[in-house]
Amino acid sequence: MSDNELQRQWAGELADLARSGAISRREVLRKASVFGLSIPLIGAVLAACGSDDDKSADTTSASPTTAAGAGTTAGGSETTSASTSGSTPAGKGGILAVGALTPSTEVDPVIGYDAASIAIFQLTHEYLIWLNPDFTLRPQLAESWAPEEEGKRWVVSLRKGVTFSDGTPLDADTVKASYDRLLDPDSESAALSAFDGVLEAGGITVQDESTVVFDLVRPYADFPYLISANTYNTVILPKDYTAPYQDHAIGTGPFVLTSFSATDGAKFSRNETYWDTGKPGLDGVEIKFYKDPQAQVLGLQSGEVDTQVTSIISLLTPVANNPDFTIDQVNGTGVNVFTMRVDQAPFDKKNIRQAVATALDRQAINDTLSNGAAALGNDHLLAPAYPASPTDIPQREIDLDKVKELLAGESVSFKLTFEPPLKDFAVVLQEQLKQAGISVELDQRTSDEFYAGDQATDTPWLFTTANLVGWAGRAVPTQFIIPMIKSDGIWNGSKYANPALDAAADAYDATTDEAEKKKQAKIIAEAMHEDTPVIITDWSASVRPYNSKKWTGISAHPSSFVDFNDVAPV
Amino acid sequence: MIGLRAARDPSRRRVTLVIAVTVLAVWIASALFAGLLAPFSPSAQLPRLKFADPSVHHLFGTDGFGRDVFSRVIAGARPVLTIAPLAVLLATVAGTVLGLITGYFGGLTDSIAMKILQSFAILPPLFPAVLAVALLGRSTTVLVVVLGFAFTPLITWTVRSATLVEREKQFVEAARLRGESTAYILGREILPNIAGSIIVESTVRLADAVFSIATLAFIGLGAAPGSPDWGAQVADNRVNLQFAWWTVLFPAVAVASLVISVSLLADVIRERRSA
Amino acid sequence: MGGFLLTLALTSILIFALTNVIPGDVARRILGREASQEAVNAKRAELGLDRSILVQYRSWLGGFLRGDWGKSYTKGEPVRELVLSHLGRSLELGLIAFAVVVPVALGLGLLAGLRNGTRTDRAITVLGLCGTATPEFVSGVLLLILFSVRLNWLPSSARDEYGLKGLVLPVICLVIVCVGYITRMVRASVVATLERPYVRTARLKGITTAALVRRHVLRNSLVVPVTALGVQLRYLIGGLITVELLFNYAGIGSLLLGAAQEKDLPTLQAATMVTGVVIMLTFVLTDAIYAWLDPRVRVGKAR
Repeated sequence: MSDNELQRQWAGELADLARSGAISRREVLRKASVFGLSIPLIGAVLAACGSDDDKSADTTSASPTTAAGAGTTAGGSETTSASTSGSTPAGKGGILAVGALTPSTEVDPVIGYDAASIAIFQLTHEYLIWLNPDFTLRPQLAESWAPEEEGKRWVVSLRKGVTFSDGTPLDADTVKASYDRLLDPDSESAALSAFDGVLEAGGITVQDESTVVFDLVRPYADFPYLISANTYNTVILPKDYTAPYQDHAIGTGPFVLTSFSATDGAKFSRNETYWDTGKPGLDGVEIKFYKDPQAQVLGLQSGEVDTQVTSIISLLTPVANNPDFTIDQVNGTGVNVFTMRVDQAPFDKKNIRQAVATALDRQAINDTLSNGAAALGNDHLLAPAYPASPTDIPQREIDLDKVKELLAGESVSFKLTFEPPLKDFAVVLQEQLKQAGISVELDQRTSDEFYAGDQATDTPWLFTTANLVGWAGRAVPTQFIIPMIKSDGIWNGSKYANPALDAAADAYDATTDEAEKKKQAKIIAEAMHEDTPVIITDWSASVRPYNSKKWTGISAHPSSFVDFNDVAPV
Repeated sequence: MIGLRAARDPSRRRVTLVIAVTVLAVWIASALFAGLLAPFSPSAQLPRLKFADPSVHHLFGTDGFGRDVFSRVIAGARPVLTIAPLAVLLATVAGTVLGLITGYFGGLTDSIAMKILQSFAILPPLFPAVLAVALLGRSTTVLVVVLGFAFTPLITWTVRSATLVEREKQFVEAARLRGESTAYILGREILPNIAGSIIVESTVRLADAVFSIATLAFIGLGAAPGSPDWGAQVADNRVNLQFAWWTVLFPAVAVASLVISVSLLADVIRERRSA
Repeated sequence: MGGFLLTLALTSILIFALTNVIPGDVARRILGREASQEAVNAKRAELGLDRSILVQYRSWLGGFLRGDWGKSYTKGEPVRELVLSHLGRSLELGLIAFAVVVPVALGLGLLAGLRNGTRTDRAITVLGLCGTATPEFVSGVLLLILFSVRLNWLPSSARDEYGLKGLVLPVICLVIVCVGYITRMVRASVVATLERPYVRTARLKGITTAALVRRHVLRNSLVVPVTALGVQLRYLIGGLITVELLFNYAGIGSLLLGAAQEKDLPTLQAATMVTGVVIMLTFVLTDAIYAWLDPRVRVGKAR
């Protein structure tokens, strides 16, 4: 499909920006992938750029430097051992054993939300668009896509000749059925909230056998992200799909499910009719469940598994110095947010919130909890990994004198509520604030208790005075901002309401103009940094260790997704 | 002549006694004077010194937050010595009384008691604890009661079994014929003979209690996050065993030393009495 | 028999009642925190959780007695297969461990008791105490590091497909925990026996050690592991949680704990009932063994 008028217009704007040095070559590529520009057009844009230099500060993800099999440390340095673009693998065959933490609920592509479940159905099923570790988009079941009406309508062209593993052809009706299932107002899927305010049931129409049209509620320039793996429940399922997954695991993906045990794991073999001929190289994959994260690392060390779906950086130290293993790392947009209720004492005063934020030694938090691998946060939701994020807001740092000034003699103490995974973060915060004279009582709840109750009235994670909540990464900043910080946001735990910020968020989504996006992002960031409804100390790095003596082609992913299409034995 | 001579050997008994008492004294002193004995605050974090090897500056090294393990072990004596022994004491007293009564009387008393005991034995793990938190809130007292309650059935069972065996013995029959009261029979005839088993059971429960406190932490009972409680330290740091063994070894040895000292002390006291 | 059933019934009611007091929402656990409140409410209705507790209980009880144990709320699997397979694994592990522990503990306990007060005795006692004072999550990890990572002799987990090989490390772990306890019990009973007047008399008369052991000591000491069996089996069935988590062993302990945490009522109820039956059988069994070992011991009314 050739580019339409709107795409050519965007290409022109991109080229201008690139030429003027306002955005880097990498950002050009990323934006181009979002806009769905054709290869020739991208080439033309890049040619207009001229030089190969990255012109602006860019902190997105893994720079493809090879590490030549040398061990890497889990913290600090950032190296990859295999490029993420599809290079032809050296060998072929083999079965990759992967460790994963046992899901406590059923594996279900529609409602599944934990990383192990997602990894499983990502091996057998696919999305319209895949999300690369560097946040660029890669066509998967969609071959190309183009916006119309200033981004209020998106026309998606499906890849031809794709069949499900049982021979059923992939067509536009199937794609529509998958999305209709998710967008049904009664849907149990988390995807419903991802499309909130952007796409509603009935907004999808079939133009022809291989073309699907999405009519949005409002113009949304980053829509391709929403129909990509970023919304992890949007895998394309057969029209007649019914739960449970393990009995109906027919997908278009590179592997087929051969056996499943809720306690031990899942086994897969290569899908011989996979549309990307020649891939995957692997004969099969075995996912092995572990109930304990340390046992999972020991399994890696003993060779029971060769890589992991999710990993905790601090547990990887025994593997970090082992030359047989490589730890791939990528910056992510996962984050642990410290929320304060701006409508309750003691946080109803801005100076108190700023005092707490200024009392924190963020680098120390990074060193203690992430071995220094994380990127520092500045109390706003525009992570360094996002191209539109402002880079000129002064980084808030620990300043105990300023804290005294802000507190103005007031004695502050509060209860901090959290669930077990954030216990260490809470302990560090408590001690740091103690040094500044602020007394914190730790209120640890079980995960069930933390998320129970009614989300509109009393659930602890949204209604306690001060709490810690962990978030998995999202490719687009407004996916955090709108639910968490907008006045009517469904997950607004701080109860912050700022009409100027609301307007900026809407404007950000509507525009495709890079400069305009940056402007709106800056408005949001400055408002959050000044008013401090939440404290953001750092943005997580995502790591994936693997046995590099045996395998190549394994890489980390900001959302812990798995893509084993290029894995080959050494 | 096996055993008898050696058991009476006063010098061996004395050495054991001295060691056990010394260890206990050290921990009691730590519990009372942690502030004076510990070189650092147990919660002070030095992130740049994370996981430092044991050295002159940090005798037991530092943990993942840069906290001095030596100070934490000393500070940990107080929570451990407060809660675990109290809970075990509660369970021992309750369990011994219940076990003696049900074992001796049998019949309906025994049946009912056993039914109730079994009901609680069957309940899913931690259920009573979670219920206690829901009803009574989180506090040290609740913790002691919950743990005591959790260990009572085990001790009752042991005491009951031993009582069943003893009550058929001739000296019990003799005491009954003499007209001794039940309390006398239970307290003076049967109890001394089964004291050994009770003591063993209790001291095992002591170690159990220390680590149960760490386990209960996840429902919010037990060691508060960051507490230097030994059980919590071992539980939190076992994930670091391969590269920071000192964060596990020293608190674990602390627990073991406490348990062993109490057990040895109990053994010596018993041997002294029966000699 | 009647009392037995009464206990079970009481427990099942307790569980229903208590689960409703404890905070947490299984529907939210299934759908995750980002699902809409409407979806969660609908899920609760789908699971029948919006009915009164009495109705829910009656409905469950009816099904349970008919053999229909329902489906796990969170795992979706039929509860009966789930619970029985997990129980089977726990029994397998527990019995193997017990079979190893009993002879070892009897031997060591006898040795320690006979050599009461000597260095051998102290050594055995202290080693045993060290064993009980070491939590499974430490001994288990140490075993894994040594035998699985360093030596690579054994697998790192106890999955069904590894068979008995996968059970070696968990068994060793359990033996370490239990052997000290039973050894000490045996030792205490041996020492107590040796101090009995009639034993002293026998010794003064010149009885050999072998005869002493055979005729007096063993008789009293054999009762001890039986007592311990009662205590330990409760542990071996429901309390193996740490070992099950560390070695990824799908036993009943972690199933129970998980079901209790997630408020997965069908699984929780069925697992509790089944565990209850096994434990009660243990109590009956141990009482019977007492009576057999020492006919003078009659469980029942005192004379």
